[in-house]
Amino acid sequence: MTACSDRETTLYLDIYGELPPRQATEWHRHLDTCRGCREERQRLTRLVGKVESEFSAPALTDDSARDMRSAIIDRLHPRIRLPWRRQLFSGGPRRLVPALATAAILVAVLGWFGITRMNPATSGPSLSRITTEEQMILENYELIENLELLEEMEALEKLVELVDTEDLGNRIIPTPYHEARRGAYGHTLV
Amino acid sequence: MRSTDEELVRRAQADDTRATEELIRRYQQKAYAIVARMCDDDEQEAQDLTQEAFLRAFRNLKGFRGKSSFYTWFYRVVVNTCLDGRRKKKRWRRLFSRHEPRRPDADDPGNPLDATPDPSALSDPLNVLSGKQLSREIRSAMNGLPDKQRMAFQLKVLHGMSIREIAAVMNAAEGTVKSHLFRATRHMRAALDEWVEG
Repeated sequence: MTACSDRETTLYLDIYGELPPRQATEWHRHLDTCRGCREERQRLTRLVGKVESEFSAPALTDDSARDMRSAIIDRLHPRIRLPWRRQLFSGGPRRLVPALATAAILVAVLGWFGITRMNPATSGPSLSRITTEEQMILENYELIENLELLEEMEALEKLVELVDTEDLGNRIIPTPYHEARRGAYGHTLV
Repeated sequence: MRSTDEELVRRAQADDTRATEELIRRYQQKAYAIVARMCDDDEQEAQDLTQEAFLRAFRNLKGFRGKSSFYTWFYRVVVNTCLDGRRKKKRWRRLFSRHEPRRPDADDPGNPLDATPDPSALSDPLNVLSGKQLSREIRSAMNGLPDKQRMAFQLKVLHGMSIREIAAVMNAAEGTVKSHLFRATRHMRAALDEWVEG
């Protein structure tokens, strides 16, 4: 038995679940009485089901999906190419660590073996490098030190003189200190 | 919290790369599925066309005013890109087919051994019928459809879209979509007649 040709649109809409409710009631009443439409409906339902099951949903693998995303982003927002100087520092301070470490090692090695051995005379501060002003300051410093020493010696002499004056009546035997003083200065301090 | 499409679109319009990436992530598989089913299992072509669709969409995103949902607007771009791609491919094929030797079976050159039923399935002839052969018949019938009919049919049967959605996505009137869909159904019905009978 064949389906009713004037009902084809209704049949298709029913198959695809697009039949308005008002028409659906009338259509189902027709199906109860028309064997041809009923069988055609079954065939079409089977057909759609087979097509549906035949085409499983194609899916991108995780890697392909990620590659595609980055390709799209790269083409939409192309990265600006930096000049070499900015590229050097674009990685942040961490990127400079190996370069700095190498530089430090080189400086240490050259400083120790190279500079010290090649110019031993210049290893310490040389007199020729001291300026005139520094020399004057050094001389003044020595003078001040000498003056202080002279003052101390003067104070000592006064102290000895005082002690000796007090001891005149006691006949103190001269101490090695007195002997030394006498020897040193060529005359008696008393 | 998951951002809505509208939020992501607004941010992507302001050149926010993360929002762009999130929108791609959200629609990548669905877009690929639509395109791949139109590309007769040519994975590379399907990936190229999907990527092209995203590029077209995002390059024109500033022109998207939000009159329809992003989903509808984007699928329209996908469908147009796919149909354009197939049109170009057909043109090239037509151009070069004049210089190529004609194959005995242009639709399915395949290995002749494939036509032999699987011995393990011989015990159940129904398996043979509903297996490889039916699969080949369905694909062949689908390939025989004009592109727009095929697209309407696939969006309905394989992607479960309503006729109204298909009309929006294909930028066509609902009546036109119904016409494509019913013609495609009639074609498939006729091509697979022996499989659906009984």
